[in-house]
Amino acid sequence: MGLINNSRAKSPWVVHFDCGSCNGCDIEVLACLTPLYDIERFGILNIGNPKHADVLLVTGTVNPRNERVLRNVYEQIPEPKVVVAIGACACTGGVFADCYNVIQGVDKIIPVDVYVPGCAARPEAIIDGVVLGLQKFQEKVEKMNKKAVGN
Amino acid sequence: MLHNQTKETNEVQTTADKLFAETQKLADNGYRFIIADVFEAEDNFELIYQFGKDYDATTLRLTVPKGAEIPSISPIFFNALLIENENQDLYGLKYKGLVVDFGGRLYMSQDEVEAPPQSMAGMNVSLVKKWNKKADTAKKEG
Amino acid sequence: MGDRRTVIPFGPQHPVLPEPIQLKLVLEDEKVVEALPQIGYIHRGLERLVKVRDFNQMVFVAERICGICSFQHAMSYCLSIERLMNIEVPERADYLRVIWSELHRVHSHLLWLGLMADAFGFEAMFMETWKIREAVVDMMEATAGSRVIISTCQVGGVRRDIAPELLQQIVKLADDVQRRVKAIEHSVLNDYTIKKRTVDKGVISKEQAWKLGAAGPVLRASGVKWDARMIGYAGYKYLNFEPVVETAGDCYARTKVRFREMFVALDLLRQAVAKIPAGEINVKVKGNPEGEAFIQVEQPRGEVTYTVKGNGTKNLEKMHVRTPTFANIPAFLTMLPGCELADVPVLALTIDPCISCTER
Ligand code: SF4
Repeated sequence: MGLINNSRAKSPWVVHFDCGSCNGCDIEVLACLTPLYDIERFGILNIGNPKHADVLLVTGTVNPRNERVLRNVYEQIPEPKVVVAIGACACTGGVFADCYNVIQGVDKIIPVDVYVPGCAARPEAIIDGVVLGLQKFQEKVEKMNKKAVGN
Repeated sequence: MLHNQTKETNEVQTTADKLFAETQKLADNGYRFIIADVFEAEDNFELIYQFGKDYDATTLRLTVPKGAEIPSISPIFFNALLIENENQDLYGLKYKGLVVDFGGRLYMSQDEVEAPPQSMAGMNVSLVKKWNKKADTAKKEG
Repeated sequence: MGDRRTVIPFGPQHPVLPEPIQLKLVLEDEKVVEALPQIGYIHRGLERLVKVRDFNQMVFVAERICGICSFQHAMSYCLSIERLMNIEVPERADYLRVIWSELHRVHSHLLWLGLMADAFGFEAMFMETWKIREAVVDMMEATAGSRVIISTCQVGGVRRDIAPELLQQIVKLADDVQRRVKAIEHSVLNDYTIKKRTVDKGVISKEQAWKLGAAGPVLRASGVKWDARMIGYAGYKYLNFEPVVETAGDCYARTKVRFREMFVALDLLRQAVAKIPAGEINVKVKGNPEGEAFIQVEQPRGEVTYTVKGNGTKNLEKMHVRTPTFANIPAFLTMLPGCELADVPVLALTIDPCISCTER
């Protein structure tokens, strides 16, 4: 187990879920993948399937309809997992906090580990957020390892 | 009077019964349907239908009392479907003869909030939920 | 097997769609016979914010309807308010609006091209187009201080000026982007695989496109010469250009239209920089909006319309936005029946869907 968990922390795969963002944060997440910012140099890979992922990037506001989808995606990610909320919308609801169909903040639905501020969040900030998320991930992995040894 | 960028649009006053026929006339003349808008007043809705041909716009305007049924123009212009469903969602308008009827659930999910009346806009979900509950109990009691 | 039908849910979380939308596809073997959209995953209800935000603050909300054409949303909103209040915008502001609009158009089309390439599986081209796009976004940052949501528009003009040296940089950028896009254009439009997957796929005839109310590149790829910029709002009345038209009406034509539009946009940038006059960039706004206005503006994805109604207070009574994707969904739904399941992502991408502005 130790080997697998350690390599997990060295090369985490991220899945990006957009629940109701204005696209501003979305395209910045995508921009992170492209040559200028190149998030792959940290071993991070963007994939489409939540079942392969370790890190969940959430952008945008949650509303009653996509809440179910968000929860579903979150539950499909295997343990240990880290959730990064990107942009003002995902953190608190942002400019849309007062709308009738908006739930303020992703953390009302699922536990969030890292909050990335900004509207739109800059790619540098997103990378910082993901790297911070990795530290948390490492901690979680270690905790799991201890548990495994303990049994 | 409505304006577009450069000039006033031609405006035609009509009624709910004549709406379908007027729309058909415009369709036959090569107009396309652009958008329908709703202005909400105390006890009636003002509906505005925008049509376009080249760079001109023509407006159909009508007033209907709240709760009245409006003939859907989606059999003529398929693209009216989305906006009419949207209005059903957000204003509680009722359309007759929609091509596809989402039943007021285009945007809002089954077990969740309804759009509040425009006078209550700007409230967030938790408040609206409370409002819905109140409305529900009021319905039961009344 | 004949009448065996399968229903496949496409989305809401799907690798080629950056945004959640669900299509219920009814299939007969591999053929799509019916498609029904299920939207509402992004509905926020922001139009009703007019009740709690005053008309100056709404600029920032309007801007966040869509992050990709953000400046054009802000501009359309400002145009409609200016129309209500009879404000004359200074000429320099008009030109600056054109410059930022066209920068947005170029970056949006490049972004689309990248996503398209990604849907085909051309990872390298995705990277390449986004690399070019970064140069455009950098220019946005240099002129406005922010990368995507630039917040430079305000009722009565613009918030920031662009210095003359930067204007020259924009010309240089336009030349540079033109050269690099030309290089990709050749390899995209002549590629065997891309042709195979786009030519004669999702055809919409001229009459259909017009009747269905399609907008932007979808409309023009079917041979209708209609571009809201020809109405002559903002600085477009001072500039020379022709709407880009193709006649085939298939996915390939739509790709071509977007390529050519990019070159037109770059040309407009050069023209605007050459002609821009000196002067004020905004006027003071007094009073409150009253009356009704209807505005049509051309965004990268097509024509957006704003309907606003003011009642003489600082809050508007109503704002309603019809966005290009909203107009293109009916066209998309008519394209779908008859195509193969594997083509659905490509068809979806050629209308350049932007769900967040569709649902607002
Ligand atoms: S934080 Fe800002 S840029 Fe990001 S999704 Fe929300 S409104 Fe758009």
